[in-house]
Amino acid sequence: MKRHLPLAVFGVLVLSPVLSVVPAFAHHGFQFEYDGSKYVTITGVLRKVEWENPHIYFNVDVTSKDGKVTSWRFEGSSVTLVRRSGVKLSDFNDNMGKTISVKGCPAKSGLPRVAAETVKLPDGREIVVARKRYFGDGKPGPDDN
Amino acid sequence: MALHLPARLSMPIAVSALALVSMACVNAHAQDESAYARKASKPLPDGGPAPRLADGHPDLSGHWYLGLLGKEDATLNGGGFGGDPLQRPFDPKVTPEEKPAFQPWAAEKIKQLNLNAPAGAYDKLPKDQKIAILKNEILHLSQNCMPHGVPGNFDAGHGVQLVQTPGLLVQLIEQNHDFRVVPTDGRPHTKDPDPSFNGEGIGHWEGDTLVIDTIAIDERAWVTPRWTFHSPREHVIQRISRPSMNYLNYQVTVEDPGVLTKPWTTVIHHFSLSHEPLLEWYCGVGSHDDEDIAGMKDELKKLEATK
Repeated sequence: MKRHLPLAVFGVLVLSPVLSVVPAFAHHGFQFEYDGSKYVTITGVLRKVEWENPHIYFNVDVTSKDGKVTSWRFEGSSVTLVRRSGVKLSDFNDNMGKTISVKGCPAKSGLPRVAAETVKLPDGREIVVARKRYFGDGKPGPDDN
Repeated sequence: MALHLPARLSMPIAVSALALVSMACVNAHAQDESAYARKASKPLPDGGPAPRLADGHPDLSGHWYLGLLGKEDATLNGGGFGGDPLQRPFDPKVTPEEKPAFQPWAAEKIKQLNLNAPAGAYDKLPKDQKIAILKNEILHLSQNCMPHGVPGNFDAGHGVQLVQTPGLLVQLIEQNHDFRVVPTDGRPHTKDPDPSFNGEGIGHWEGDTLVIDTIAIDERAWVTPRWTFHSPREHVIQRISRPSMNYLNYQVTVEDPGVLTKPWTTVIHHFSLSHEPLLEWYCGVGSHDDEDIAGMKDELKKLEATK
């Protein structure tokens, strides 16, 4: 299994102008909570999954160099969309306590919450837990109930 | 906004974590290229002629998705209405859709709620407008596990299964385990029906098109995610046809003399046939999206406190 650093947090800050035709209320709540112009990768230990509609949630513990542990909270799409994208609950349950990497758009508040897009599992598989939310040019993602 | 966090997460930890995120900024395009490679999509073939029932009408039965792909799959390129054009109900460049003609007060309300503004615009709005938007968003039907009602439950974005028998159309809506039963035997509306989210829908055939006429729609039902109010006089006419085995055409007209200056009709929205079953969609009180609503309520409280 590929080993990850105890703390591997990479972020992307996109400063390109927003020229969006995406409706303001795409993913419900997305616009208030998440910054679709930023993209981060958070690596840590999977601690919890909540497999439910309208959105799945999971938590990852990230340990800083000085030993402080932060629990990051991730929000995905609906169970049905995630299932139809080839992801099962066991993909999370079988990896509980193991290191995963999550990509997505961070909370605007600065709190450790992310609208997750993909999860890299310990076996190297990258699973998709939401419709694309970051398009690389400062636009937030499309509708995502 | 995410202001609602487990008690064990302290702000200093959160801020230091974010600082690490910011310190590690790298080139955006390089990062995006390394992101998940989503698959290209391909429209379904037409699949041959539409089936017909013994009564001669086209059989609209099937599990239908918006767009041309016949599936809901987040791994596809773009992965949504605003992304992959093949998952959109129509191409606005090919068939531009007329905007609803709102009465001045309704147009102002739409503007105030910022429902047609570009994404990201919320942050730059004046406080009073933010308050109005938050109050509206807190009532969001999806977020509250509420039914979308008519007409929104047809093209809300998840699967819809139609089951047709002579004289009846059943619409099964995956989101929130919703359903609708529409008689298509030519009966008239009842006298003074009580309002409900799906209203009283009565169907009849005009050639190969099923026309569903709906009145008495609960005022809490949204017309679209960006048109969230209507009057008790709203009248919805849905036209559904099946031009081929794999495709369904859908068009809706909304008449609402309390809100519009003239009826509004969409262009044809395309749906495509899926062979997957509908899935269970439990969503109710205690859903973790309550966190989002709690966050919005906190934000609302803060804004109102600074008035």
